[in-house]
Amino acid sequence: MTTAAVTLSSVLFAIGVFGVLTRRNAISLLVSVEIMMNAAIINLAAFSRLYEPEAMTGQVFALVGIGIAACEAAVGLALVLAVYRRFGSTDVDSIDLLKG
Amino acid sequence: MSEPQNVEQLLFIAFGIVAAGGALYAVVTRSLLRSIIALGAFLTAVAGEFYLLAADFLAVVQIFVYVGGIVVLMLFALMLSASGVRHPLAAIDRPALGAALAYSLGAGVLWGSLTTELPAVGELPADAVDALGRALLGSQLWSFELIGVILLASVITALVIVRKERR
Repeated sequence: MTTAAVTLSSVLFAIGVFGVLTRRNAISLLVSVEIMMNAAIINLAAFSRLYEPEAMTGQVFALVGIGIAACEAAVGLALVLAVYRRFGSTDVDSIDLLKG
Repeated sequence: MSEPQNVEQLLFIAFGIVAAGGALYAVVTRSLLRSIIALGAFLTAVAGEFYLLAADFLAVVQIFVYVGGIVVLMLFALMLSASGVRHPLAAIDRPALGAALAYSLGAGVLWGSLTTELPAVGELPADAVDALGRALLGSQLWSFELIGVILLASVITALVIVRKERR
């Protein structure tokens, strides 16, 4: 079970990194970051289940992670909308106001 | 290896394949709308993994917060920023097929809920509201706090979205 969980988590994390690296749209970047967060949370849940089923520490940390992800998505998407109003696009390559 | 453990492992692998497939499609597809829908499938599969890892509450929170909250939020952001390629929203554009699918799903749910063996109905506590309050601030404190976080985040987002543009 450990092998399966760790394998799945790493595969998902790799997919998330791939998305962050290859996508240009800000919403796609958020999607990829969510995939990476979930990869980490799967590990937390798996290790909580396998090695500390009584203490529940892993599950509590996973809940904290989900809460943080919710806030991150809310603030991130608000930023996306603000950027869209300012630049008329959500393509992160078009946001270059600070470029010298 | 005993039989239930085998089934559990098979289910774990099956959910894992769905999760990986959904995640891969989400980062590969050109259409933003499809990417977000694939993210929803991925998150649901991860909720299944949580359930298999004996983290029932986590699975429910995953579906509520992620699939019900974040995916819908992303869809709204996509609609408001109109940056995605346009696609028809309906997955099945033949009404008869859609109706057949929906009704057979409903019939399956009904059959399942009618044939399930339910435990005996338990005794109500003397003061139900008192018991609920104690549960919320005692053994269920985390779900209570989590609801607070979700509400705060959504309030902030709503304020930012409806705020007037400063010229």
